[in-house]
Amino acid sequence: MKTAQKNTSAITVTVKYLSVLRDKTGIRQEEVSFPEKSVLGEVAELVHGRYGIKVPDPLVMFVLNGRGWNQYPERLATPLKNGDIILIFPPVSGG
Amino acid sequence: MSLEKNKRRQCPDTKRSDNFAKEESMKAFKGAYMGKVLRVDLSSKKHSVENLNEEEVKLLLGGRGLAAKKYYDEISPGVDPLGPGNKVFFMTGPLTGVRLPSTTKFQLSTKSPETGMYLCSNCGGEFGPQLKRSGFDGLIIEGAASDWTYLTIKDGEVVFGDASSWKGLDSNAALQKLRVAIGEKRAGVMSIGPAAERLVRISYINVDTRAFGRGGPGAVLGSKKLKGIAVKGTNVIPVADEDRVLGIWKEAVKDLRTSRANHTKYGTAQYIEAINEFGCLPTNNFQTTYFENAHLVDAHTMKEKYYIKNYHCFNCPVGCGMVCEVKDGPFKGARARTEYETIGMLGPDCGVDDFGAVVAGNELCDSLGIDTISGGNAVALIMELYERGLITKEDTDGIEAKFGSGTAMVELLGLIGERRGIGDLIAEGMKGVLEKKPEWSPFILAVKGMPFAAYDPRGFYGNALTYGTSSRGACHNVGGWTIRAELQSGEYDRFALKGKGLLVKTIQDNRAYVDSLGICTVVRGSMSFSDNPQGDVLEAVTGYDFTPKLLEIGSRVYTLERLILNREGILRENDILPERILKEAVPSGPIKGQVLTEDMYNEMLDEYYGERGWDSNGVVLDETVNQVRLNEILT
Repeated sequence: MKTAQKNTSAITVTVKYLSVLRDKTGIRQEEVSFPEKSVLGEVAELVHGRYGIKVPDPLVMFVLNGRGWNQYPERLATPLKNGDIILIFPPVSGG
Repeated sequence: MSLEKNKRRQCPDTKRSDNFAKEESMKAFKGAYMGKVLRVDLSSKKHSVENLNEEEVKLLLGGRGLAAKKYYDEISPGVDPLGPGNKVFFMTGPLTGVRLPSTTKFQLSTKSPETGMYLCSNCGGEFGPQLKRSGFDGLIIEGAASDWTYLTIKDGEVVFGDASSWKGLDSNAALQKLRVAIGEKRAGVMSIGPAAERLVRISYINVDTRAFGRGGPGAVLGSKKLKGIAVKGTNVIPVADEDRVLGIWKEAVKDLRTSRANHTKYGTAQYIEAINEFGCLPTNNFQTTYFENAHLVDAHTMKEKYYIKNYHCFNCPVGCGMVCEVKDGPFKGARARTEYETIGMLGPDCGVDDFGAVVAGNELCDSLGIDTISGGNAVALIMELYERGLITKEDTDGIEAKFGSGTAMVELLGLIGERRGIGDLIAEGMKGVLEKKPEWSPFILAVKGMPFAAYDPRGFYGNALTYGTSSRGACHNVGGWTIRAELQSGEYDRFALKGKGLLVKTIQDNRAYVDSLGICTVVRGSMSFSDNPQGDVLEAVTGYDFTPKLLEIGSRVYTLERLILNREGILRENDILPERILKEAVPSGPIKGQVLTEDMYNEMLDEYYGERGWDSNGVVLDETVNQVRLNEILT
């Protein structure tokens, strides 16, 4: 896992954990810094490394700025930018 | 099918028979069905038994499908929802009561007092399984009693009881009276509360503390002076292959322990935070879609401060019901089982961030017997009218009806349930309100008279189509819950228009067959009842090869419901969303600026009609009737 490094060009994103996944991480949300040109897949690696939560996964929703990870043309290779919000939560199933 | 041809179809009088039905009428099936429907006439205090029709069962499965067919055959367009000509059709599904997870559900169809048109509704509890064990797949209530009445049905024996001393009882107290009346602690029981006695058009039927919630079916029973029904049966529900059914039960329970662990822990309240993060949580009567204090009414707050225990429906290993109690503060002692919709509509949609107030509002709705979704919408409307100066304290019986006040929210529910002040008008439902006050149209969030659920459709465009095309008005269940698919699909995202017509149709058909089965939607994945159904559950239970035909059945049921709606005058103009959604951009939050214009909506609607085989006015085409084989069973 690449360690997030702090530098003056770092990208800072917010990762939010909902429902039972918050129980697993012990936190509601965290701000994480990544180097320039980091991509969404590095968030997945970080979450897996820190908490053992595998994303993407059928039992985990992985959402970037309100859209599913696979709805971006570059999918996990989607470049991150400052202020991005990533949501991680169990599959919603309503009605 | 042309509207004229549809209207010429007859609603023949039902053949009555005092003889018990012949059991050979369902030879195709080796289990699941009892083969009989009980018909009770409250006017004459007589009852009769009729057979299920094997061909109809093959094509419509049970539950919602058969309840729709009964409605089609017996309720003509001119029937007054609150008149003696309306009927209530309760139908179980083939899986109701079988030893599989959450086989608790049964369906209702009737003409809705809230919308003035066809209503289908789905409910859990003990009643459905007990009805089947008492020997009946369905129960029909018709006519109207001259005095307040209750019914008991015990292994086929029907007794009409005097409920005159029960008038005014809250619905939970009435359930207890019914258990005593039938002499069984574990009977299936359903009742109405005082709101339904007052014909409040958003009143519900309490079924073992679950509910036929939407559309005002409580008022239908109220108009018939039927306070409640108790049922108990000792018959075994037959299944075709007992060993296989037991094997499926074990596999499904194991699956649910993992796949639904989040529901067991947090119930549906877990969606408050997610939906808010997506910017779709209705706030202040859908004026905006992001609630700053959502964390005060979310699942974690619920669990830490209010949770008492889980509630399990019949045969359900998940137990997603979260019984909550308020331990201190102004609502101390209030107790209710709060679901996402209730929290959303009594909480953020009324601007309320006090979970205790939500529990208290929920408890009052249960006590009066009113639907929390329509109730929350109604309170939010009153609050907006009040804050805009369009109504005053004189109208609200002195209540300062401001957004954010939990006390006001609870008191306004009382106003509606008791028909006091402006509550008397609001109790007529949004359709009734619009007829008297068309100038309030910009503040009403409803389709066909049914208020929105707790999702703002400007955040998920498929959900917009769901509300517009649901068979019973703006319902996220019947209309198809699209949110997960709109987040997971690799073909489009939640703001795409193209593809949503097919998506909504598929989800609706999936839901229609699930509602015809007799199981809860939360567990359907554990038995492969998806939009690509697999497995052998139905074959093991019924002995009939239903599984490959399930989506067709769903499409057939949905088409039948649209035929009913067309006959009742429902066309494209009724499938359109309210002004606030199509004219106002979201003013704040994660989807600030998002718009869904009428042109955008119509683009999705056209695609949907094409997928359904309806014309551009939303009328079912003749060839579609034949294509889905409804021509084989419609007279």
